[in-house]
Amino acid sequence: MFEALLPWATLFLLANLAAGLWRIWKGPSDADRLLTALLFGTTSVAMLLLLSAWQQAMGMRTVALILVLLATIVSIAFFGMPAHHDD
Amino acid sequence: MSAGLLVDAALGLILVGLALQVISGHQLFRSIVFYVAFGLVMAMIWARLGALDLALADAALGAGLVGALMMVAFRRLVEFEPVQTADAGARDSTLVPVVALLSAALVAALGFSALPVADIEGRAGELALARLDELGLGNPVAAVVLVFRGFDTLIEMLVLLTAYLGARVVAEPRTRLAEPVQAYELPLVRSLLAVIVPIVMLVAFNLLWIGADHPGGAFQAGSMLAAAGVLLLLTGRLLPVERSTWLTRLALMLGVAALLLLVLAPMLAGHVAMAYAGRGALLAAEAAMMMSITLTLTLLFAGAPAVRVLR
Amino acid sequence: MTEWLAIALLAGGCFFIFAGTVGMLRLPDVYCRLHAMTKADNLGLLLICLALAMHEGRLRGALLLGLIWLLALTASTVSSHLIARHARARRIATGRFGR
Repeated sequence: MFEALLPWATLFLLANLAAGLWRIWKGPSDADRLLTALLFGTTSVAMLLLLSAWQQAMGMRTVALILVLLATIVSIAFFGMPAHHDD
Repeated sequence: MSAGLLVDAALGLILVGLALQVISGHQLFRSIVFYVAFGLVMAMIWARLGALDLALADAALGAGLVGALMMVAFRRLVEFEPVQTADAGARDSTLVPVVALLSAALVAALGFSALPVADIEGRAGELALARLDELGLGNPVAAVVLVFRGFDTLIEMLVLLTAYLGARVVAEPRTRLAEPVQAYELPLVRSLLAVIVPIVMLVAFNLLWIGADHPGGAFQAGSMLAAAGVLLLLTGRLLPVERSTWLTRLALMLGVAALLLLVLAPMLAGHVAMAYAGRGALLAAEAAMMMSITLTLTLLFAGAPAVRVLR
Repeated sequence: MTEWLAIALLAGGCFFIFAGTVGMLRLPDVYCRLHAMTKADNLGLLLICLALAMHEGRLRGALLLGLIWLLALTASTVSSHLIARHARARRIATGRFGR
């Protein structure tokens, strides 16, 4: 029963991810876009964990671990970004 | 229709949509964020395809390192010209439809030529899998990268070294890329580094160690360590310096040297070139490659011939 | 019994990630959206981790899931802090509902 639900849960999270893309597109500020990318990251990690249980591939958890470990790099590189035209 | 098929279709569609946004978007920053998302989806697709070695590398490079690289590059762009960046690259050439059609034709031709390949006997992949047991390696990717196609890997390491040397030649001494991002003054970042960097090193060394039998290896470990190096550069813990040291140069060449040794050493013992030298030799070569990859990527990011630790 | 608890946790996790997405799309300004990202999504991830750990019932797997969750928590804490500081320094305005 639980296993049968895993693909559907993955699909549901993927739908969430796709809906979040609208916010990256719309903005309005850089901070909004980056924030959504980070949300994207958390959802991807959840999806990878579900995928690993669904496909019985525990190696995917290492991929998820790497994603959470390196999730902050982009926001640290972003911090203090000077003002620019399309913001 | 099964959920698995729906997941695959949705992942594919999202990836193509993201790729379109990345290359055709009229705002550079938006395209960069889409590219970060693209890296995440790509890693997920590799994982879904069962290509964990690629998923690991893509998680470290695509989602972490390259995003930061583009963010810092964009920052420099804004510093140089704060106004014009919005529409850079948005001009459409009249050649666009022609190039698009020709590319589509090429893709279609390649696709059709690949269709009958499924029936061919004795493909390289099957041969490699069949002889995996003789090597005593559990990970077919490691066997291909280091044994069956070891020569390609040697050339890849040479390409990396050449790319670094090329960047050194082109870079002017004054155009320093990574001015530390003042984030190091923030209290949280200090604690973050204390948590993240040791775990990144642990995971990277583990990936190197298990690489012969499980997904992992020098490239994955090297890109993870390079991501840690970038984190330390961004927060000012590592500082770019102008003068290279002999130790840095040695570490840069170590990967190529180790692979050359792997090629030539069996000849001294009377075997053919690149004869399989055992697990220990592979691990040593991978460790050397990991060091070179880490240092090359970190120095490319720093835009400097060497880095030093902040004291 | 464990099975049903795991299913409930999975459903709860999906719900909170959904809530995070809705918040990201509907909340009026960047400061509010930070809440959606940091709170709802991490709770969702925790519930999903718990569901998987409970379903598998192995200590090592549960520890890895716990580590992943803690690191995700650390990452989103620092990221949201940096983004909020950036937004404040740049004087990004607060918004109102219904705009």
